[in-house]
Amino acid sequence: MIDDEDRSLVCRTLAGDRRAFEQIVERYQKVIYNVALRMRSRAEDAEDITQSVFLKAYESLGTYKPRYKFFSWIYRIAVNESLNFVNRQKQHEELDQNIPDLDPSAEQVADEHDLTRIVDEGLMRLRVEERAIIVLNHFHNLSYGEIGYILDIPEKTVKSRLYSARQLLRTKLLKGHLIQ
Amino acid sequence: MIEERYITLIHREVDGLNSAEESSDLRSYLSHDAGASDYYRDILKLSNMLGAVPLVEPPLNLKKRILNSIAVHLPSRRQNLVSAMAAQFVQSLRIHKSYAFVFASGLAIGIIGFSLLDGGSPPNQRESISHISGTMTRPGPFPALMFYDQGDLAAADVRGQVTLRGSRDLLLVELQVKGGRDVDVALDFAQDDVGFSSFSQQNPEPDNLRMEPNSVRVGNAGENQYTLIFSRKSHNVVPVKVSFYRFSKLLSDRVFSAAAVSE
Repeated sequence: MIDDEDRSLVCRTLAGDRRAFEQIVERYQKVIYNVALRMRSRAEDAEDITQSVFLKAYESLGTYKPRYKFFSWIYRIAVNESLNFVNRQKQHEELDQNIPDLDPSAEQVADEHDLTRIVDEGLMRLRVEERAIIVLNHFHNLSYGEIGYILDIPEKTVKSRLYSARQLLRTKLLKGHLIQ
Repeated sequence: MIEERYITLIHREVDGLNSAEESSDLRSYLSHDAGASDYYRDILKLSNMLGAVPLVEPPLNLKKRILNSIAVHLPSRRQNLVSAMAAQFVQSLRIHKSYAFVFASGLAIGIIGFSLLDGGSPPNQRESISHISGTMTRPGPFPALMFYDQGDLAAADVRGQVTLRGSRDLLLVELQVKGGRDVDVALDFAQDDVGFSSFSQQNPEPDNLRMEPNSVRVGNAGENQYTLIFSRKSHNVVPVKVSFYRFSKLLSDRVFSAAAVSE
């Protein structure tokens, strides 16, 4: 149902109906923004990435193949844009590696805001490819197959990367005594 | 050391992908291996923790920002034509970009003008195309376009006349400026209403054209006639503010309006 509506909105946009694209933005801005936010952990960067994702999507809407789910297609753009952004910000990325070890108290973890912060800090300690896989699987509940399409890797690779990313994140968070 | 097969089963269990037999096999294994049991518990906690992180609402202005960026970055078909022509020209003749742009703009306006005039010309009758540069005093230079608004702007030593014409899809601003070369002209508009497409001037002297999403500024504009073409995005009344400046000091301004068109 949602897929059919998405395809209809794409067709209408391609036919020149700008309001249809406005609906696409309304429908997907939150999830795309959240992908970008978890990949970069900075709201300003996430806004820039989200804007860039929709601009790219609009420009290349003609290349979208209706046999694929639209959300997978736009997620793919979002992940690529986020990865490109992170690569462009390599210097900042190195700074991220220098964040002091996590050491929150149990009370801090209970707070939702702190939970988000701690998870974000843990994520920032992963390589971007590992981060992407965690974000897509855990925050957006995408299947291995969908993640494989988005990241352009075989399902088997998705599994092995996801498992090792979880293992790494577990180690990072254990080091910060978050999982007791 | 946890067996590889059980690491996979632990992750699959957390993802809810194990069959009943696989789950039973895993439970049996975990009951005999404390290390594996701890690992399973940690991965499950991690998964629950990640699942508890809420999605963040994007800023309220993000949608507007996205849609505006699309309007600004994606030029209209006419603008594409101008840019493509200018690029070709620069490549083939290796001339300065701004000259190429002005030439290409003129050529594009010529093509558009011809296509507009074609329907109104009697067969086999030659028609002058000099008016394409936008003479204010000539009646009906673009017969296919509707007349919207016309008026004068005046300051101590500078005078100007502005005419707005257009159709459902485009807005044409004809501007005549009489005064010193040091006068700058600004056209301000809402970027949701119109998008700048092309520009031409009667005296092809070097100009200082600056385009923003919601304004076009012509530096050293005195003693010249200009034609600016915009693609029309709004079917409501479209206001365009024209201002004269000298050294950033406002000399005169006035708002002109293009009437609403039917949906």
